[in-house]
Amino acid sequence: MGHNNRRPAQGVLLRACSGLLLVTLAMLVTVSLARSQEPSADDVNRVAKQLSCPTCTGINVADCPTETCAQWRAKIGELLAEGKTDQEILDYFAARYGDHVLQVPPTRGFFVTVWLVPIVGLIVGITAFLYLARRWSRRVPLPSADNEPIVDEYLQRVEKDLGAWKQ
Amino acid sequence: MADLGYAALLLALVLAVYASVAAATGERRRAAELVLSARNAALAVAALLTIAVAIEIYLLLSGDFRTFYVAQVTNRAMPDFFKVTALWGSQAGSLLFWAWLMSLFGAAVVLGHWGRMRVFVPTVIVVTQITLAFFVSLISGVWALLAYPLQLLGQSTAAQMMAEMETLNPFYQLGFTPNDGTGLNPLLRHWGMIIHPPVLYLGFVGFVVPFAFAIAALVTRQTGDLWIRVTRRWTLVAWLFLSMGLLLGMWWAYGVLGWGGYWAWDPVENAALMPWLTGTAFLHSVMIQEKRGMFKVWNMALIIITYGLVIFGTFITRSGVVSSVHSFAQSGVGPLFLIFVAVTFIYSVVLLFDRLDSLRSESVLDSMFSREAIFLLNNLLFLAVFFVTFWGTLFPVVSELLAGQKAIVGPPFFNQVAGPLFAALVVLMGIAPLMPWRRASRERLLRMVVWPAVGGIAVTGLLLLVPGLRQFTVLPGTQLRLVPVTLFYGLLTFVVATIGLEFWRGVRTRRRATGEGSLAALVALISHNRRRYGGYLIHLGVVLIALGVVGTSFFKVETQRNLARGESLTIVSPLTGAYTLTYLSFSTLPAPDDVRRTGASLMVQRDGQTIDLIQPSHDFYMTQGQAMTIPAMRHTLAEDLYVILAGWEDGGASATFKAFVEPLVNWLWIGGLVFIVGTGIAAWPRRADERASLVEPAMPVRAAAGQ
Amino acid sequence: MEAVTEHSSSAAHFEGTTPRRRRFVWLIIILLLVGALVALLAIGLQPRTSLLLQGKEAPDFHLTAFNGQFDGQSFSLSALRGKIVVLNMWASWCVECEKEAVVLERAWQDHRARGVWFIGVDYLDTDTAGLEYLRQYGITYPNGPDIGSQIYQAYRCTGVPETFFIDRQGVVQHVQVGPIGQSQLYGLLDRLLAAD
Repeated sequence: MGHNNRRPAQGVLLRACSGLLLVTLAMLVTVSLARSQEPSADDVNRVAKQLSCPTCTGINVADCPTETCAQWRAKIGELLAEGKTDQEILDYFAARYGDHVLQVPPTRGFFVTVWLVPIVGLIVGITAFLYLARRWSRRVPLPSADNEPIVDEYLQRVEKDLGAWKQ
Repeated sequence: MADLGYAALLLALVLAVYASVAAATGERRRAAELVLSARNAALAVAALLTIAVAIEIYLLLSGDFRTFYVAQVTNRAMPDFFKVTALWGSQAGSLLFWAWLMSLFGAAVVLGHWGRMRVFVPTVIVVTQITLAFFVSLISGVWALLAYPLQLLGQSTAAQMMAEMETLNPFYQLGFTPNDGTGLNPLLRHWGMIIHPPVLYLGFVGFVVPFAFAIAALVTRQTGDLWIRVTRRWTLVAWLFLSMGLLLGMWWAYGVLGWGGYWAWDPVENAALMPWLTGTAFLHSVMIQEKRGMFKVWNMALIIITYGLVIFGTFITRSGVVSSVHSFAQSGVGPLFLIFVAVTFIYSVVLLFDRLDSLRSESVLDSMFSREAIFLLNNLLFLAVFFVTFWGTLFPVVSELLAGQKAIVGPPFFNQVAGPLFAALVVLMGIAPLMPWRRASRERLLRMVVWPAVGGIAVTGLLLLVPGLRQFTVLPGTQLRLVPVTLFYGLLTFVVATIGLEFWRGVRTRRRATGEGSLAALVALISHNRRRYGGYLIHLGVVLIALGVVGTSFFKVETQRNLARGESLTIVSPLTGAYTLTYLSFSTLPAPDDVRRTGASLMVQRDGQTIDLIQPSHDFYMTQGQAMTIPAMRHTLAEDLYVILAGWEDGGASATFKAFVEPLVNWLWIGGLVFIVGTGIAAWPRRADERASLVEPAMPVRAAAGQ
Repeated sequence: MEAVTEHSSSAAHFEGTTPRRRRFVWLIIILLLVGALVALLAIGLQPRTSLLLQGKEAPDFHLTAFNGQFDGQSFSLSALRGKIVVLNMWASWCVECEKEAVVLERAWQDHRARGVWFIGVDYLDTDTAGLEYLRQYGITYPNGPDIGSQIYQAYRCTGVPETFFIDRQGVVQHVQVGPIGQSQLYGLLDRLLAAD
């Protein structure tokens, strides 16, 4: 773009500087891209949280302080660096060490019952509610007095001592 | 000395058995002297177990390592205070502690009800003393006598387990005197963990009283609401302690364990939650029986299940059938507990079925839109959560035995299945106080609901529409709007509004009647209707707890980084913005003799301003070779900043930190306090003059027009 | 203290009350469910450890070795029928395992020619850590990772190390829970070899 009043030496310098700048930028971008390949502790934890520590019960691999879990977190880091997705990593661990390292059993085979039973229970519960509500609305009530004839005298004392509930 | 304690234990066992036999025979033969003798035996049992506990504490304090239990749970370096609390630190001692508490309750019940309700007392004695005898038998070594016969029958594993139970005696003497003891699990040396078991045990043991009265009611066929009214406060107090125990456990797990959470759905946690769930259903359901004579079978079933779950929970905790971080070591108590809970439950169920005729309902369900129907739904929902918890806890056992495959059922299952059920319960919590008895007229219901509903919808709308409030409803780090959570906030507002309205209406009515000032009216209102307004406070507590749970479940932010000295990390709170944490220094901190405590201090800054200095630490218990990471926390109403020291290198030149932001978590503890205060108010006994001044009808009001 | 007798004419004038038979059926159903649960838990309480395998036929296993000259080779118990097999469960993070590592390797060298096979099973470990452990202790007999923890579960192990001595007929002659010492190891091998 012709700024005819610019001296030639300055133009060369300008081009050299911008070239140098471009190269530096390119290097920085490459380095930072390479760095972004290396998974952070948070990335590792995100996956590790979904795995159950097999040697200690009830803790996930992210929170567990043992050596096994430390090795596993390192492995997760390796797999993440290779570009594996979270699910692929979980599948790898389940295949390598058994389904019981997952926080919830996978939905296949017998393990489907984990979810099936609560669903069946929900249906049973709703049915029970409707059934009971219907039954109770059709019942003929029992006259009050039959229940406790013998404790009448006690009852009056109870009422005085404890106090019946009044709205 | 230990021999004296053991003698007291054995004598207590004999007397407990005698008391139950005498009471049962006395009732059958209508021999009042036998029942009196049983009562005295029950009192003696409490005295004897008190002596046994006192002796055990003496042994613990004096460091008598020849006694096996003392060597197990204490060591020389332990401070005296912890030596006392080590009483419930391991299996034998905690069973002794449990038995002692139960004996005290058994004695209190016979003392308190000797004058009244004598019709129930014999059966109550039988139930409480048999249970007590079972617990004492476990630590008395009597089961070891079965070892030889079992060996003869070829059952060598069973024989060995029974033989090992000899060492379950808290007074068992070793053949030599060890130089030093092993000491307590380091986790149990924190004060939260010290009061958590006793409080929880008080809750568990407390439920034996309503259970015993329920059985007594069935046996004597006095199945009206007499047994309920007699045990009303017992139930409330037991439930209070159980709730407190759970809250304490959560608070301790959060503050000490250092994983940034408070509930892991661990089998032993679930074992305490399950009786709480059915116990809460029971607590609510009995109100209907008192009012309208309905739900009689439900109430019997609920208390039987609740008590069964208390023993079953003990079974899960102590048998190792499901592995847990909490478990005691495996031992012969497992099969014995299983047999005991099975026998107790089956007997209760058969008795219930036999007496079904006497449990007829006195009223009809008038409408689906009534408080009765809501309570039916309430019972079913609590049972649903219980069932889901039960299934998830036992699934690993089922899977291994039926399918030969090991499985773990972790928090995701429970959160996803129980979460919606809890949300439904919150809905009910809002509607139920508004629902009239028998039948709701549509206009009346609408009138009660309209303002709270408007409030709830307004809050939801504001959260969805106002840009400045976005961070309350968006999943951190994403743009994902959590619509169910936003709706839930509206629901919580609705519930708070209904509770507030109830208070307001009550105060207004009272002021009109008495002309008092607002505050005086409020105080008088609460103190004259403790059960009702205490209940409202409890519900308010639940709302606040729910707020805390939602905040920490959906909006928690976490990060982990290795920092060199002087380096910083940033963590962004969804509610309040970014914190910058700078690693300043690393040092050894003062600690008791057997602990090596290392701490790292971090400067907390926000917008360039230093707002705090925190110091997470790492405690290494040298005798046991165990470590604990103690978090450093910064508490505000909006959130907690929570940091742990996960590891370090080169003497602290660099260290790994895990930082969490836990939004709204303190509302959990605030809600817990409101909850406890509310229960205390509801359970507060009536003053003597109050009782006398009330004119009592001979029969409670039933089946008449409700309200 | 009089117990109240059942109030008269109870069932007659009620509609919708459960007849005795239906009640009984419900009771039986509940008792059966409770019984099933109790049975399940009772079985769950049975100690089901590896020690129970002593004297029984050893469960078959399949392993792909990953160390040294055996790298990539498959091993299974059925293929090794007729040989004496010492199956050792270990892990790189297992402190006790280190106590027996050298002893096992020496025994392998000494007995290899007589048809004794040492097979190592690496439980719950990463390949890198496992191979490093083997290198550190100079272990040359075939070792492989326990894929899916199948072998560990099949042999009902409750920890590491555990060693199973299987004779030529495929029967488990001895289960060693915990590290094994040299004299005991050699004694067992001599006994197994002499049994032909």
